[in-house]
Amino acid sequence: MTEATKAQRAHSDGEVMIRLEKLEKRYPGQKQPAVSELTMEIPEGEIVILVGPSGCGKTTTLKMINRVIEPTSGRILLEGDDVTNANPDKLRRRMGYVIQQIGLFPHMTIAQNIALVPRLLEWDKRRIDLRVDELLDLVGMDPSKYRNRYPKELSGGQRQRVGVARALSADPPVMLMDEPFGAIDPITRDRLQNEFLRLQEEIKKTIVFVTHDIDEAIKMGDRIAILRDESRIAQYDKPEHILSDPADSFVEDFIGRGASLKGLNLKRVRDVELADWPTAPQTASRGEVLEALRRSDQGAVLLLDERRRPRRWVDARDLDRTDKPLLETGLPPEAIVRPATTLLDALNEMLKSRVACAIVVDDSEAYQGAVDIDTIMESIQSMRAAARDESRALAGAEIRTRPDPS
Amino acid sequence: MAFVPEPAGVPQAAVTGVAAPRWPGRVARYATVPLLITFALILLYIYLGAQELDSIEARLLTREKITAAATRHLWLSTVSTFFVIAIAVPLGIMLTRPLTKRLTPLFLGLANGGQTVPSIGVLVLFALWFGIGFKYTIIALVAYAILPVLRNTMVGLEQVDPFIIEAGRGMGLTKLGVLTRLELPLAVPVILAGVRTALIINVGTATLATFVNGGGLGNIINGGLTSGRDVVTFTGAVLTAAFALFIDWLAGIAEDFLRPKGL
Repeated sequence: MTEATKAQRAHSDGEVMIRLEKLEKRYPGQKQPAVSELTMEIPEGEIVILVGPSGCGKTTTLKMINRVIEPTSGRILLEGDDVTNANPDKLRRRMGYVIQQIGLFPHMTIAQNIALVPRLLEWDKRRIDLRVDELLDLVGMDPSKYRNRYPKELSGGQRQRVGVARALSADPPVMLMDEPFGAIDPITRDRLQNEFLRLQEEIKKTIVFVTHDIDEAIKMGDRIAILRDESRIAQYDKPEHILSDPADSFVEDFIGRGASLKGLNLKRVRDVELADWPTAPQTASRGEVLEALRRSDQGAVLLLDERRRPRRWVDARDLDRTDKPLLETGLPPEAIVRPATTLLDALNEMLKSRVACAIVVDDSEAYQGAVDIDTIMESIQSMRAAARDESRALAGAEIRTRPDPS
Repeated sequence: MAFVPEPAGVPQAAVTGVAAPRWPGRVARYATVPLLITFALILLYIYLGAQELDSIEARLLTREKITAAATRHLWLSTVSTFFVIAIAVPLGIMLTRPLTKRLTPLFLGLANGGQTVPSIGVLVLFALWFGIGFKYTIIALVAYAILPVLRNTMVGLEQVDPFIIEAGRGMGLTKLGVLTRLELPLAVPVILAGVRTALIINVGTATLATFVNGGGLGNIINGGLTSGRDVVTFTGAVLTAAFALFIDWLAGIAEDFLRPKGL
């Protein structure tokens, strides 16, 4: 495969929502353009991440899509229509816009903030009220509690949620997000990211998302465009391909060390085959527990209560001690994860645990299985193999579809 | 620099708009000044009642004369402030728009000039230039008090968080929409502080209107001075002070209620 095709691999699974054609931005008095002849397609219903080092022009690119920054030359097509010269105010009402600073209007209540664009579009009042409540519900905020509050009464995370709700208010097909979680503490950011991904499963918007954080890009993106200076595309591909098959040394450097580890962010516990660790009911006798331990090749048995909830880890030494009841020896169960946890988080939990595995439980806390180092290794290897196969298949397809030179 | 009034008796309102106090605090705050004014006026009334007024004093201090002077004073200060707002706010908006920003030094220079010349000087200059009487007094008062409102309108608009404007534009508000729905409401506390300053300046300067035949409470003070009747001068001074405090008190309440909620 040539470098050029590798950088922009064909990806027309869905319709193209936004097409940028030779989009360029030059500022007067500057030799180098801020964005140089960028051509890319953004497929419908996907999260496309623009990621790159500071000053690479990713934010300028994003802001040219809704023409908050006017391009110097080139074209923007939205759903096939050339909007390069359309009325920018009307264009923007078709695109949600979320910025890092959120920019909630402090003198308006939460409901008024969300209702602004529907009011510009002259929806009737009842429809607007319903929409406001629906959106607050959607972002997990109780409408009756928050509708009439002012932005200053909210926490950073809540403001960000309102920012997202406001961007969704007129149900635009496209959302532009400029480092939307950039100014939020890591714990809240992680939660908001997860919530947003869940929300996206419902709303299926076409999202262009700018970040400088490659980990966020891998976690959030259906596709990632890694940009270098002047917004030139170094690689535009699915995250797993970027991780397993970086286009060049720039991409490799940008991903940084630990590409395999980052790949673990793409898989969730429910996607892998869980390891089998021995278990026994908490009512079992020492003999029965010992028997379960002997039959497996692991070092500890997990005791479960009558509803299969994890109670205690016990090993052979604990079983030898008869001075205390079994449930008071051993170790409490740590590192409990759920099917939706990413493998990276599961690995992290596992490393913290004194027994070398993370326990997987379902929503009713019942034991499902375990993630251990073998599970992780297997999934890394299978991801690598899958990416390699896909690259080969695509390269083959390209050769086959090349026109006959005669 | 923004103008912030520092009126006596009322806590200073900060430029950025501190949250208005809760109700019990508010009531106490709102009640103090009128109580003080009423008390002072009662004392003045008792004092005058105990004086034996000669014919000149009695002539200068009739109920009609005082009422007329106070009414005229009220008109002078409110009408001039109205015109100050009508001129300075649109001008301030214009001078913060990108296209007309370059004219800022010119207009600020003019407004500064108006304020730098002592108020009596402005009044007399305008009287020599245009003539005397109510109308020309108003013109002079407007010229003298325009700077604080102009300056505060500009500062108020410029201090609006640029990301709020970006968010508004990005959502599809027109430039006019951003101005009317975002910038102006957010600038209101600062503009109001400027208006209050202008109003107080006008109440003070209107006292000098008597010298250009503009009337007002200055008539009483001046009448006392020219006839050498201290009682009259004293009465005029107390009335002027009470009047200024009262207007400032009203302006303070207006400021609290007009400030957008949520700021």
